Amino acid sequence: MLVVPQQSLESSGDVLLKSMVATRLLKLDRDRLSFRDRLIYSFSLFFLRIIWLFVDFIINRKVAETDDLTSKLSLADNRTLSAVNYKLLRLRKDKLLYHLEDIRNIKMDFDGVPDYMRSSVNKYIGSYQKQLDVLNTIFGQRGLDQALIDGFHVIDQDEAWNTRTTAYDYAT
Amino acid sequence: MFKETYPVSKVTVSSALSSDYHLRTTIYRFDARDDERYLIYLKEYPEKFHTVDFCRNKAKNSRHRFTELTSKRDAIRILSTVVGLMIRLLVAGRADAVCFGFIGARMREENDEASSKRFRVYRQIMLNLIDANEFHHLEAPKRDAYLIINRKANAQKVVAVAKKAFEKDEEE
Repeated sequence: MLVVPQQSLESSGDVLLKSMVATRLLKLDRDRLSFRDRLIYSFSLFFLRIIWLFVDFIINRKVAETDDLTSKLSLADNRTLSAVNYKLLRLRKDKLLYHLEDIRNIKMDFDGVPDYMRSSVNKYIGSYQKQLDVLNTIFGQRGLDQALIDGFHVIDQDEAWNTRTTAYDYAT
Repeated sequence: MFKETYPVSKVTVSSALSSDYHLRTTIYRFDARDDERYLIYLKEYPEKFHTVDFCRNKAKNSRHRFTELTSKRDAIRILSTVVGLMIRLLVAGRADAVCFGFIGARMREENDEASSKRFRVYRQIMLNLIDANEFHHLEAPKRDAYLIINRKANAQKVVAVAKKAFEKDEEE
């Protein structure tokens, strides 16, 4: 037996009329949202903004701390670094790399997020990236110019650090 | 892991009269588990380059003295003792640009491998204990050779001396 959908039998005028009546009865506007829903939505945005003000305050404080540390690090001379400080800076760099990757992964999921949130997170990433650049400059200062001397491969500092087990302290 | 060592004492210093490249050899000794005595040969070459070899006292005249396996499960402490001596001399000679090098002796069954097991173990120990910021690390896995070069030293000259020293050692 052939079943014909009910709607196909109705004219388009009937559908429009039913929709208008339903909209009026349910007190919906053109966005198909009731006044109550719109109120909840507006309050949600407002509360989100208030919460973000607090988050933004924390981000700004973190950015200021990071920038402060970055300016101190930019004065560091690799030639006078002790083995302990070298290890600490290397661990700092590793931590920064992980942290940056985490934030970037979160940012990837930022679909439909307000611009003010996006700009705060960008500021945070920018400050960490700046510190990472300074650390890279410090560690890049002391390598040999050549990668190969008379058949001997020069192990660069990054390779040396990534090969070691960080649980040990340097003995030198 | 590398903190437990055996006490080391200096035995003798002999100068190499008939050689233009090899300056002198200092022999150290230490007593390991089961009354096993070990000798450490510290050979000095021009450019403050030194090589370290060690073997059992009982096997000192054997051709395979640097490749034998004792199976006494004391390797870590023995290696720590030898590396500890090397690091002590490296730190003491920091101002004089003292450099070190060694070969991780290859056993017969390792002939087809890219590098010897000993080389790989020693390399890992060097990268863990010797700060790459203070010393250049150079390697030649095919020859199983590893160099620790002080930043004040002329790397080119030290590598040239090391190559010659390792070649002469192989001939002997």
